[in-house]
Amino acid sequence: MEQEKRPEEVKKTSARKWTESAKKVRGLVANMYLRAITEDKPVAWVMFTLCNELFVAMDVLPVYPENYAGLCATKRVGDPFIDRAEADGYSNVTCSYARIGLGYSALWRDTGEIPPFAPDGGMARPIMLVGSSLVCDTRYKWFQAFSRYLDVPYYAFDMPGPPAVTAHRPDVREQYMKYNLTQLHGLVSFMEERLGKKMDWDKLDEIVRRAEKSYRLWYDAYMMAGRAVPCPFPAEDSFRCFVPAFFMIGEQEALDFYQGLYDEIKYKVDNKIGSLPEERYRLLWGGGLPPWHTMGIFNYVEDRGALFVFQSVYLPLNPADIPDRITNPLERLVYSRYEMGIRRAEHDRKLGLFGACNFVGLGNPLLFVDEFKVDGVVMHWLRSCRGATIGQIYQKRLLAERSNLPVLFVESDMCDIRDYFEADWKMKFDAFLETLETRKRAGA
Amino acid sequence: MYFAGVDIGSTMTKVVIMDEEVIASVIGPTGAEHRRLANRVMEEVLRQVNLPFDEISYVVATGYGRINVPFADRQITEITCHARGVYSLFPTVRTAIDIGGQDAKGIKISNGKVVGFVMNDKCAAGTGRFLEVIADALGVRLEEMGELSMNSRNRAKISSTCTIFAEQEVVSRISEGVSIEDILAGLHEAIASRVYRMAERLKIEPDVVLTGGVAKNIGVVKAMEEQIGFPLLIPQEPLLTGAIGAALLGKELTLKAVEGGKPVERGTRRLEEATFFE
Ligand code: SF4
Repeated sequence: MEQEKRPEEVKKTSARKWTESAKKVRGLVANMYLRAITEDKPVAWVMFTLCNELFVAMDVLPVYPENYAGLCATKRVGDPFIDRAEADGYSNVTCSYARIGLGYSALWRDTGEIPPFAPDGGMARPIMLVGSSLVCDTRYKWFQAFSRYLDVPYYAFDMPGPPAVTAHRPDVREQYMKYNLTQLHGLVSFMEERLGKKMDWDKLDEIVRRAEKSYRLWYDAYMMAGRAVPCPFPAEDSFRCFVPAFFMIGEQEALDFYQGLYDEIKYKVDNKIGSLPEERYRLLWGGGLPPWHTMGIFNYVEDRGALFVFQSVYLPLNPADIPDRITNPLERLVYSRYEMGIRRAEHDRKLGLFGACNFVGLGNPLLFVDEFKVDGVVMHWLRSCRGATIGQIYQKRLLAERSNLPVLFVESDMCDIRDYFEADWKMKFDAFLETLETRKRAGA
Repeated sequence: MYFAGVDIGSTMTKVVIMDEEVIASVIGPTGAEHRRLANRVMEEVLRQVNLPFDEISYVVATGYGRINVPFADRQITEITCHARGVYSLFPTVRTAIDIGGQDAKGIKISNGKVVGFVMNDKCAAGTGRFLEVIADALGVRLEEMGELSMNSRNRAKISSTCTIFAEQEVVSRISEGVSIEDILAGLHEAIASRVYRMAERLKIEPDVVLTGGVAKNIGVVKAMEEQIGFPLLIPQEPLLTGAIGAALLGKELTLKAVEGGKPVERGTRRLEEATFFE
């Protein structure tokens, strides 16, 4: 029977960690799932949708199925969930984050229990599901399907990003702010109704301001690390350390984490403590989510003298200077999200481009290659994620035209191991490094 | 001094021996997945020129099976080796396209150096395997596919580039009474357009050299030329460019070490079977 299928033992596939901060993330994640199961608090399944602060303020424990899918992939236990979802007819090009969560929900419904092989005790039963239009098309339907499997109400709200070309116009900004604010008020009402209690606005204000501080530390730490030669904080560490910002923001623990990260990176940068004895090649992970199933591949590259000094996928939000006149916490929240969006659009405008950064999950690699002294860019084509793959060819062309940097494409999926072919990846990395070496020798 | 290049591809192993130029070459089957019989191909080529293995100054292995070749001094990827090999034959090359048994790649070359590359992944469409499967379905020999397709009057439209679906499509075309020549011409167009789209990510620039086993199929060559818009250059033996490049790179490494008064760094060679996995 499906639910009895257990993943086989697999060899360790995670990457080595270079910073103490990165080592702490695993514990934070494990606790996130454990407390949702053991504590007597309401649980919500939430999409990454930039409003974690609201859940913290309402004393709800949020659980993020996309994070959980990544966790399953790193532990290589995603297959039985994926198989179960596909058995219900979900195509193998449906987002693998979604497939893992849907398979999990289907197995739960089949047996009435959390699947026994679910890592970290599984995702606790929610009393509500919350998602938005932010990021990609999969999201419109994904949580709706959860709602059917679990028979739990789903609240979906709209969160449009600022338009690339006109975002700077005051009238456009005002209209967007108003609209997003209405949407968040709707979410607050839904939560109040589900929980049978009112939002504590003072508490939310405190949480939003704490989150703002965390975001700023996150941003400053990442940028400082990317600029540093030698780099103390390679991409595989930064692919871990975004987790508190995405899934725990507003909590004191997240603020403490980013303070610790900032201090650690600052110390290493000040003392020129890098990761590799020699950074022969500095690389940028310039698009596509990482292969969660095989993060050890980063070490393969490092063993050959190359370091990913930055990743432009999980970019820290640009910290916004929120005017003092904005005192309402929801308005502060909306203001900072809007600012983040228009900063990216402004960068594009400076480069003479329109909308080049507006692909989901893609910061424009052009913004980083000079400042971070990058020798080459790697992009990951994801079979089941259009959101973070679309636009990569365009970005590659821009890089070729404006920076003459070589770009390597590797192909697989963020979670579905069936799309990964290790020999091929290694060959491509080897060939790419040979190309970089030739360029280096030729003084390109 | 003699230098050897060993290119262990997914289906064929190619070995060349060079001094100033290629003095011997052999193309033989690679062998089963876990036992790569590259040593046999090497022994055969040595027999051709009557040389003991120790006389070979440097051996470079390339291709998918390059990792565990116990008789190689060094491994270099097929991208670098192909580029070097193609450049030695056609110094004006800017784009090399290689269509092998199980993969296809495009390489952008500037002054003999690789400046970018793309490859297909895990998918047989756009590779020799695609043609093999279809040849089997049609009951024609692989080698005659190209010539046959040149007699096509009305090229069939094969809309699917997926090997499995294309096979089904071919079967239904046959039942519709479409001639084999027209079907083959359609297939060649399908493979050419798939490879073209992949290579175009690099911005194809002339001169373009086509290598790999599929370059022997005149039907694919013509279809590629149609897509690209200018004629292709084809080496006399399109399977050997990787091995030639490997031998040349070995030669360069040796001569550089000798000129610099440094010892040539060789591996501990054993002329034994290669294993595919680490
Ligand atoms: S952006 Fe990609 S990974 Fe995220 S939900 Fe959409 S398809 Fe899935």
